[in-house]
Amino acid sequence: MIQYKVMPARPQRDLETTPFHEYVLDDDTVWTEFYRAGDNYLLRFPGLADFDVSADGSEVTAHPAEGEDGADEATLEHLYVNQLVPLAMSRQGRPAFHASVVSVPGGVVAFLGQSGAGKSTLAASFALHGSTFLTDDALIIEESDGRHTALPSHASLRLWEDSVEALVSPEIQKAGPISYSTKARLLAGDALNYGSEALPLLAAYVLGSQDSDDVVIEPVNGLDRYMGWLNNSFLLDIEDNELLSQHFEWTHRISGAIPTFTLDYPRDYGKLPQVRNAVVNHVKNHGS
Amino acid sequence: MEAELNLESTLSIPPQVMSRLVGEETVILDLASGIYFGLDGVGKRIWEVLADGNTLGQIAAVIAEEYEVDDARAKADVVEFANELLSRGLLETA
Repeated sequence: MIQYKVMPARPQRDLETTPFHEYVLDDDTVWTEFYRAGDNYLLRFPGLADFDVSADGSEVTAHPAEGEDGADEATLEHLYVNQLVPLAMSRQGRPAFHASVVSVPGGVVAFLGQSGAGKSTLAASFALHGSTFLTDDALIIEESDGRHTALPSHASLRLWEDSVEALVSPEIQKAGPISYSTKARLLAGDALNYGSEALPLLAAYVLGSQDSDDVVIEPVNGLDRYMGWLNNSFLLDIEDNELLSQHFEWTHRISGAIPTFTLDYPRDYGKLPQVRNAVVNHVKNHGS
Repeated sequence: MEAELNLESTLSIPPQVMSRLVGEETVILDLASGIYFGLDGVGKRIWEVLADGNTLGQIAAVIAEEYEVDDARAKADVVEFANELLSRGLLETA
C-alpha cells in the first residue's frame, strides 16, 4: 500500500514556497508543515525530518534532518507509522483517524481524541488486562460491503511517565525514547498484548477532556457525531476539493455506521478497571 | 449586499457545496471555504425542500403546513433564512 524509503540525513534547507497547512501544538510550536512539491507533497517536521509523499499517497521517502536534533531511527519510524501512514492513507482515500483501538468480545472499539485525551492510557490499560491493542494513535478503517474493520498499526504504545509508573511493570520492554517527546515507548510483548489482526469496529468513544466523578457514556448524534469523527481525522491535503469531497463522504458513512458515544471518566489510574468494565459492558449492549 | 429575494425566487445549491443527512441533522460542507455547517429542525427541512427546486413561496407553504405556523411568518422566515444561506455562499440564485 505504501512504498517507504529512508534516505541519508540532510539539512532541512529553506523552501521557496510557504506551507499550505500546518499542525500547531498547544504551545504554538509548529509540529508539521505541509508543502506542495509540484503534484507531490513535502511534509516537514522542523528539526526532525522531511518526508516526500507522492501525489497519490503511495510512496513516502524519509529524509532525516542533519544535526544532533535530527530524527534517529526510532523517531523516524515513529513519525512514519503514526503520522505519515495515516496521512498517506487519507490521500489514497482510506479513512484514518486519531484513535487508539482495543479488542473487546466480538471485535474492537476505538477511543477517538487528540493528543493528551487519554487514548494511549486506555489502550495500555486494556492491553495489560486481557485485551489487545491494535494501535495507540492511528486508526485506519477498511470498508467492505457495509462492514468496517480496524487495521492494526505499530506494536508499540507511548505513555507519559506518570502512566508508566501507575500501569507498567518492569517486565515490559521499553524501546529507545522518541527524540521529540519525553513519553516512554513500550513494546508489545507477553505482558502488553498486541493484536495484529484486523477486526470489526463495533463502537467508537470520543474522549472527553474533563475529569468526571463517574464513568459517563452518552450517545452522540447528528452534527456532534459527525464532527466527533471529523475533528479526529487525518487529511493530507485540505485544499484538494476531490479529496475533501471523499473525506466528507467517508466521514458521513463511518459516523453513520459506527455507534458513537462520548466517554468521560475519572482521571484516576485506580479507576481504570471500572472504566474498562463499563466500556466492555456498554459495547455488548450498544455496539454494532 | 443582500440579494433581492422574493417569494418567486428559486435558489440552487452550488456544485462546491456538499450536504448529507447525519441522524436528524444535515451537515453541509462548503468546499470553497472548507467550512462545515449544521442544520436541524426547520432549517434542515427548508434545505431539503429547496434542493428540490421549489420557489421560496412554495417552500414557505410547506413550512407553514408542516410546522403549523401562519403563512406570513413562514414566508418571512424562509426569505430571511435563504438570504442567510446566500450570503454564506451555500446557495446561489438560479
